[in-house]
Amino acid sequence: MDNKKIRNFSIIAHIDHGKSTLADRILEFTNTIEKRDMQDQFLDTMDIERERGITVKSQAIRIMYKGHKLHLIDTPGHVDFSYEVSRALKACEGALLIIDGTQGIQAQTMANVYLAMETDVKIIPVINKIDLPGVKIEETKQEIYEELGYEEDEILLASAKEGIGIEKILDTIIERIPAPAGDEKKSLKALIFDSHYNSYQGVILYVRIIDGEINKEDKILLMGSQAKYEVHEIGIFEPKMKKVDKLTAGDVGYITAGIKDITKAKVGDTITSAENPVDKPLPGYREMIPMVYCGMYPTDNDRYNELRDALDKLALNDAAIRFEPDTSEALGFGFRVGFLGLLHMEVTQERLEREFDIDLVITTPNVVYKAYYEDGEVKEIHNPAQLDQSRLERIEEPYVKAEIITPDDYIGPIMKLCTDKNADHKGMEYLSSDRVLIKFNIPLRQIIFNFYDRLKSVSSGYASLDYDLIGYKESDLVKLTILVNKKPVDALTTIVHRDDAHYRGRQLARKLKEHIPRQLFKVPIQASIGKRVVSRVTVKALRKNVTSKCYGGDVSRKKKLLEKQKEGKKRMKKVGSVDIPQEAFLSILEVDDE
Amino acid sequence: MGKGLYIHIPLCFKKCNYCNFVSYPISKVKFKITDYIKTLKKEMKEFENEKIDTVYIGGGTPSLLDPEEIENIVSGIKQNFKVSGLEEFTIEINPFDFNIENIRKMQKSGINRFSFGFQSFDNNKLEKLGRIHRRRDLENIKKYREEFNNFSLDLIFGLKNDIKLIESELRKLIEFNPQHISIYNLKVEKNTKIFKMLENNKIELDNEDAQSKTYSYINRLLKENGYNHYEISNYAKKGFESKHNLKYWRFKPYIGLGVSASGYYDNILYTNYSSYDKYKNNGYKSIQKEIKKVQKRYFRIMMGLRLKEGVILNKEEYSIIRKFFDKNNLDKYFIFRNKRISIKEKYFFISNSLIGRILDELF
Repeated sequence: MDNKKIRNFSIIAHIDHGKSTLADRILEFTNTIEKRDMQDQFLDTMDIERERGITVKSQAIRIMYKGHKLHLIDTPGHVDFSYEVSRALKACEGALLIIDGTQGIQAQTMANVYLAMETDVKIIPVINKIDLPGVKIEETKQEIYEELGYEEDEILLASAKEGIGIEKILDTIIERIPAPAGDEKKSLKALIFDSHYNSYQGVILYVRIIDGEINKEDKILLMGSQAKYEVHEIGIFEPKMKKVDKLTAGDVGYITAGIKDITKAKVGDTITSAENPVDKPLPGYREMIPMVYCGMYPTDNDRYNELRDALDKLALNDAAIRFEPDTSEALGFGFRVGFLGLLHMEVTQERLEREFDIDLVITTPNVVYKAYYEDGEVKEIHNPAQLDQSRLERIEEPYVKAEIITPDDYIGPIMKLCTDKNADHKGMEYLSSDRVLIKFNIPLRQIIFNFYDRLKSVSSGYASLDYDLIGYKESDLVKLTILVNKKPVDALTTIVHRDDAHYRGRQLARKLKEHIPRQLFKVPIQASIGKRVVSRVTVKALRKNVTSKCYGGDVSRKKKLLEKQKEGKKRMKKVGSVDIPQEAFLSILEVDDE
Repeated sequence: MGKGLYIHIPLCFKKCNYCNFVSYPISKVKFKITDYIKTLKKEMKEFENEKIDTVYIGGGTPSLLDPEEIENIVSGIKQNFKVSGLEEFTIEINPFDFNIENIRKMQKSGINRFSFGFQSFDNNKLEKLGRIHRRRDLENIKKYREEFNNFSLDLIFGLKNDIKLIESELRKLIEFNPQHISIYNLKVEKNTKIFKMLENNKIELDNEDAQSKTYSYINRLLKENGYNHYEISNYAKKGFESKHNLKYWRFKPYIGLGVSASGYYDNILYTNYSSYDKYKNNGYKSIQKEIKKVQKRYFRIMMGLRLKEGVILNKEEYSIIRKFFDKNNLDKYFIFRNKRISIKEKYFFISNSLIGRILDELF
């Protein structure tokens, strides 16, 4: 089949606009998947994706339709995962842009469209959920025209849930999205747009062939790492992996080449022929910079090495994860791990726990600060405990440019939220008669604590948010240390604004008090800035822990109870002589900043 | 020294709200009491000719049985065990069933100690606990006080405001001048009625601090009245400590008979089936576990630390614990006399934490 009959496309959408459901319907409609094998959100293979109803990883699948090969690359919708979207788009010539007709354009829709425009892919706008009673088709069309510039006749209508409009969408893909432009006669040039690790085959590379072709036993060169391999297996996703003889220009599929060293096969790298290499690699991907760091420690300290291996494997197909070894007095050996945002952090934590079966203690996340010391040293602070307040000249924190799109009913409470969070208002514009775009700059630190949840709650779920790093700015920040039974707990150290320090210290101490069970002796919890204690609470000494009635029939039961007590203690972390439960290390996330 | 013998009567008139023992309300029970006693006597054969010096008939509510039925059990004991050295023979009595004629018959059969489940003198509290007797039943027993020369009374505390109620409860209890008193801190177990009541806000409990204060108050008042606080929940006039129960706390062998009863015999810790059919037809025992030397030490220390007298450590245990205490400043909670270690009375109420520390260090 020549590549005139190939179409490579993505589906991009704001979270919850129905992207995965539409993908499901397309697979069903084209009989790519038998109905009896169908389960909701078919492409979301991770448990966590199905449970949370989100897509985390891209997926690639071949669909045969009216004599054409359509390659669908599914993408995530959450702001944390926009890098996955941009990766997927680089492997495509076109994209379906899904807009929920009951909600209209959202912040993430715009962000995705900008990404798509940067990569030059053809966009097909689709208004979804047209079966719902609250759908506003005309208004949404108007918005799409005004904000994105698409004419009314370019916009498709669909209900993924009811299977309406699927055929039209497929026909339009063939009609409007250009066939891949590559030349199969040229030397091999292919993009690695994703990968995963399999213990039998090593790294499985998801590839888009730009030029040339790839065959079994070909010698290949990964241009970034300069590593050479021999191809073991070639295949496509149908949606299960299926071996084929070769992939040619325009194709999307996978290859394996016995790659065991996962650092050699980076996503974004270019594959070429080892014998006849091309001169220049593909542009590759923008390096993702983690914006949020937290400590991750195995609950069981003996599993440090397993955690390192697991992080290595996750980092293979999640280019945004960064990690470095870290030790904490309270938590032992672990890692400081960088993420794009909080959801990214949560998802990674869950993947580590589920896919690798490693129980973790996570510390409070923080952004990356820049500390300027009196002696001229400049240090990036990934871990608040490392900030040396005593010789600090000034400190800078990251700011983001944020955009909120909301029905205008909620402007009031959203503006209040922004003010509470020290946002710097940069303007507001009406997208339609009742929907506005609010722009502001805000410290990233403010976004990672409860911002998204509070935005959703003050807007009854209607407001959407997108943000982008704009740079660093000096701030009056201080290191807030928590002492439990007079001992500083490194894992609980945070960096806060001086004006909030008292309040935060008090709240944090109170939250910790709720988490730390009574011990044999009373335990003071203090929050301090430098040597000055700003807040103090006390966990009273344990007064009751007794089995009152214990006779001949209770011997085994009592033993079980004591063993359970021992297990419970083992799951806690010891700071000095105080047992602290693992949840306590995240208490700051529960601190409300009303 | 002889062994202890426990006999379980898994019947009651109605289950108390806090009870999670195996006991069947008499209206629902499928088997006949005479049949149950027949099986009990058969089970005795498993331990034939064993020397016994204490017997305890508990439940459930053994006082539901007729004196003749009890006599039947007693004669079974006499036939199957060596009882020449029998020192203490206790039966539990629900105040609701109190009948002096029955008691006298039991005394004639050889029962010499009676344990009354008073639990409270407050009708409102008795109602919450799901007890079927009332205060007047207790007043009635008082009239016959002189006919008993060894009896024990039980109380429960832990409900909301028990901290206020406790003084009058204790005063009333002391008026009976019992030789022995057991006072239990209410434990709300899952799968009990009281658990649901707590969940649905039908009852409340005193908080941890109030319960601890109540306990201290009990200890003080009973000491003032001449009672020896010899175990976490037990108090006795000198020489009236329960010989049978001391066997449990010293982890000495005891035989348990009847549905769901447990025993520690021949280095086996066992528990009988809790369904009567299985108990009767499948060889009585559902769980049997051999207790090796190390485990024996575990249990002896676990149980022994409930006692004021504490437990004697062996040389190795002693040196481990001595080092552990020095490192963790634990001396303030314990009394060390030679190699005997015990928890200070003041800290009985947190004994699970303290016993846990010791066992975690040793085993």
